[in-house]
Amino acid sequence: MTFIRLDNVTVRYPIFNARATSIRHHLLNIGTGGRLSNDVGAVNVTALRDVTISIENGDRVGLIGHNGAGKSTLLRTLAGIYVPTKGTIERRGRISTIFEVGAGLDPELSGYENIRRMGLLMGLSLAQMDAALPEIEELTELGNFLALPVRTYSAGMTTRLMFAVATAVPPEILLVDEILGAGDSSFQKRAQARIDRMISSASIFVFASHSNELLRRHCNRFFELHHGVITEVSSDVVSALG
Amino acid sequence: MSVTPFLRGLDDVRRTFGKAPVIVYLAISDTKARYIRSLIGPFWPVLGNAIGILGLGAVWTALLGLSASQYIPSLAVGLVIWQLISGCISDSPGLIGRKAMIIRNIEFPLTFFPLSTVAGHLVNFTHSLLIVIAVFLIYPQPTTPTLILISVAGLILTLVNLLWFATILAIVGARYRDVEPAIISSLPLLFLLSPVLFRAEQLPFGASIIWFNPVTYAITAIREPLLGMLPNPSIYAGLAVTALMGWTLMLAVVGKWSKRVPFWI
Repeated sequence: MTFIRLDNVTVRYPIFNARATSIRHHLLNIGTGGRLSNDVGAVNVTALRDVTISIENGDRVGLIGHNGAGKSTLLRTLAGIYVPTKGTIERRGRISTIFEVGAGLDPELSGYENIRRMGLLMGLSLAQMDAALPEIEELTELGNFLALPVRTYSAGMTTRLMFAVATAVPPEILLVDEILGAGDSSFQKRAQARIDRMISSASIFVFASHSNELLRRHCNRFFELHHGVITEVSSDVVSALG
Repeated sequence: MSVTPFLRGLDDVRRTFGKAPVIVYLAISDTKARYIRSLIGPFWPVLGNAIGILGLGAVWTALLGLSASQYIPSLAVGLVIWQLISGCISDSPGLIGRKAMIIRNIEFPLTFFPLSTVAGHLVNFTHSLLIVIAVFLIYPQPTTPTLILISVAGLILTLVNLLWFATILAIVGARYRDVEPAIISSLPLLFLLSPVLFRAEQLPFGASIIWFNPVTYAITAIREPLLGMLPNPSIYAGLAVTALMGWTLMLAVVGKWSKRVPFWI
């Protein structure tokens, strides 16, 4: 049974400026009782406010909302990277994330070496990675490029590599932020079959995007975020957005 | 202080140990990558060390009026230990920032990163040991198997201490960005105050200030037995007590702050 349940989750975090990240400044403040400066230098941002949602087996969730509405924060909270300031989160299932292009890659190492490393970082074993290697090779279509350092790859090639690795062993929970749209059209077409298979084999899929076409194709539930407040919307709303 | 952060920190370390195969794999693959990139790979710094020992050895034996057979082994061991310690310390404050891409994208125990850093420096250290072996073949020292075991115990105590210190430095360095330049600029001073170029015993009475420097304990605990002398047992006791207190502090710091770290980077 795979599920993610958030109960009254609030995520608040400080954004520090140069003053707040200076220990010298803090020592000065302590030493002078704050008389020389009372500028703390941190702004608190409430990125998620009292979010209560329950994502169950079979849910394909689409997240919509403006830039800065809290979509990425919600995804990271679902992944367990951000811990709620308030509220509780319950989660069961192996998670795979595709958030930022190049995450966990060492640009100096070859594609092959990076495939193994990323697999290990994602919690897979070397045996699992070696078993998945032929399929990854085929999907990335990178051919001999896989033997070259990743720093020589274009953004599209890097995305293909990341996507192939993140989906090498189907996760129970797949969290994707935006970047699915990358890659050229031939990869898009091949990836499409894989994405469809992945999404149908993953028990839970959560996807943040601005592309209503992609959202409609992959998702069956939709949440709209607005200044950190979440509301479930019907698919008509997404259609109406164009 | 409540006990909960401590337990959370303990859980973080437990999960890191669960990922021990990953740490070993990364350390090995990093080393391999360095062999691929250049013919003698990790031995480049070793070669630099060897030249350093020759040069410093020549100057300091003349300056201190010591015999090369006494001074050069002490210098070689001292330098190799110093590189292990200073490498771990200088890599730590900026560590979290360098691993930001992983931390922001994959849920990971925080102590994994300092542990891999120390593991990486341990690999370098084992490469450098070849110089020490070469020096000891040229200038044999009156050491015994028992004394070598005591030296290994000193090394293990040093590593255990480096782990907690590197972890705290990594967390503090992630929050306060000026810690890294501060640490790196004070390392050369620490080098001069550490018994690398000399032995603590060679200092005149009154130079006991050197024992306020924790590095003195580490170097003495590892080096003296290799030179055939048994240091004061209180040195090992001191290292063990520091390790115990440091780990307690580190676990509490990890438990309290590790989950805030992703917001800082």
